[in-house]
Amino acid sequence: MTAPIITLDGVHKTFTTRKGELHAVDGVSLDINAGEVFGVIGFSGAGKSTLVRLVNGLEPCTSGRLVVDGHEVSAMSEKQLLTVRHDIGMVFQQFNLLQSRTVAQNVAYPLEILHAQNKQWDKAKRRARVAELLDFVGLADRADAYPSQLSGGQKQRVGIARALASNPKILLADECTSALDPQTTDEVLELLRRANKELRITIVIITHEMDVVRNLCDRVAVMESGKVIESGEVYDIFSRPQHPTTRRFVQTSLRDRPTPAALKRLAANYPGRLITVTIRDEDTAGRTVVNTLNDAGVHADLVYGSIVEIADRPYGSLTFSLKGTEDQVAGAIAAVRDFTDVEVVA
Amino acid sequence: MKFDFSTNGDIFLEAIGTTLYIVAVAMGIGGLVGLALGLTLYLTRRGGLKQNKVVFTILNVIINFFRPIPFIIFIAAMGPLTLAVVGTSIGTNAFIFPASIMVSMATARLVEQSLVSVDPGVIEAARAMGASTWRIIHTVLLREALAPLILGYTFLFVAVVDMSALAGIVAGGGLGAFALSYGYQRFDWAITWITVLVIVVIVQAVQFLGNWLARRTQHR
Repeated sequence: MTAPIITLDGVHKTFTTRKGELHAVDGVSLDINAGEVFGVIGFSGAGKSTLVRLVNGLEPCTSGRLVVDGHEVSAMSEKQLLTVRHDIGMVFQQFNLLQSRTVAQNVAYPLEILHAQNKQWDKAKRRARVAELLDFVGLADRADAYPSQLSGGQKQRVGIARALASNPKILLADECTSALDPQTTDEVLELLRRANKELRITIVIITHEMDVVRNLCDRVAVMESGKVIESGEVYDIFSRPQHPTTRRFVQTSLRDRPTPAALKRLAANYPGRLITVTIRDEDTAGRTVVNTLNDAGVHADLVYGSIVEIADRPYGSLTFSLKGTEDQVAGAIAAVRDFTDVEVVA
Repeated sequence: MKFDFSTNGDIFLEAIGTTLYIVAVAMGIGGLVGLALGLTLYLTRRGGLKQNKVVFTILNVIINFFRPIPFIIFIAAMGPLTLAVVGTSIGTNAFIFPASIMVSMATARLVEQSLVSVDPGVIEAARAMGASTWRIIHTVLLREALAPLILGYTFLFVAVVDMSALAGIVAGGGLGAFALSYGYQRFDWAITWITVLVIVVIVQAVQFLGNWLARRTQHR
């Protein structure tokens, strides 16, 4: 991995409200590498939206150090920030398109601002760039439509085209799929993936949906009450979540383990021992759980579970009903426990 | 003696001209000053782009002070100041001075209300793209709120036509004075109603134009 493009070092953001002080971001230290897709996940009110607004200076840091692409954002004036923001695109949950402008005029807007500063984006250049961007997001035929005439997914694609207009190095995505249906969400995520791969743009995506993290991110930070409670490679977070909140998020995406209610029904249908086995690629390579159980002489029924790909690697868990003598079952569990996690659930 | 259009028609035309002149100047000055005041109110309010409690509170109190004063009393109360600024306290221009102040105050509120309707998310997006406050004002705020602003100014036009009828109080002329002197005081109901008709036509024409413009600028 290359050097970090965004560095947060003990960053705090405190809002003074009528009820007292609110620590929206409470001592966050993070490195986000150039070229990666970094997810920030948390429930609403966890401080993730505030965190992302610190990066482009929409909100000033209360304390701590925040460096973006060599610029010390936490020490810059609003006027200095205006230039830095051209290197940081942003897309929003509610798209935030200008209603009074057409699709093409919306995408041209950041270029107009840039032109006012550096005189390098005259009308002809802007037009060419807008056409190129609308082509990239697949909306070339809607250039003259107004935002009100577009679907949610189309609006977000315009939002992405607009955010990419000034060739930024970083793209901040604030819950950019939360207002969209599942299919449209996939389209938007695919577009972000293409932007990351083809334009080599670093993406910081804020979300409360673990599926978004699973499908798009390289690394993820889990936030709660203004703090990062866990962070790392997406596969590691999914396969070995440490914090209870992280586990809850992982479960919302994987649904590979039976819920307590489902477990009750399973136990009624399958008397005997129920075990849930974690499937990680490194543990189970060449040794399947099923073989091990068979070798131990128990009768194993697969009753629940799922295995999915996370960051191109398989992960999931399988729940088995085991039938046999007490010794056989104990031996089978020990044999599997030898190479992966086993939870005896009933 | 009934009003004779064939010999005194130009008095009527002059009255129409005076009313239009008063409305145009009062709206021109008051509309612009009010736009600036309304923008200032919007920008300095809590959570605004240039949040400033002192400026906001002072402006807010001033506007709230002027707004409830009945206009006819306001004209009288402003007499000394009008004399100092305009050089006379009677005549058309002496009327336009207090009228412009009142129009400014009304416009300020109207502009503030129209701007509040602009989606804060769009303003945030513009900030994220590196837009300065000035650019946000003229490319986002005034553009996105254009339809409500046009409708607001149209409403204001009607209110100013209404105000202008009081110009006669300081010998400022106009249709109000005409309807009173030649209609009411001479028991010539026809003249009063002809005046009313002219005002209704002017107001309707402007309202029609305002609605049409607002619809054209609205893209939602």
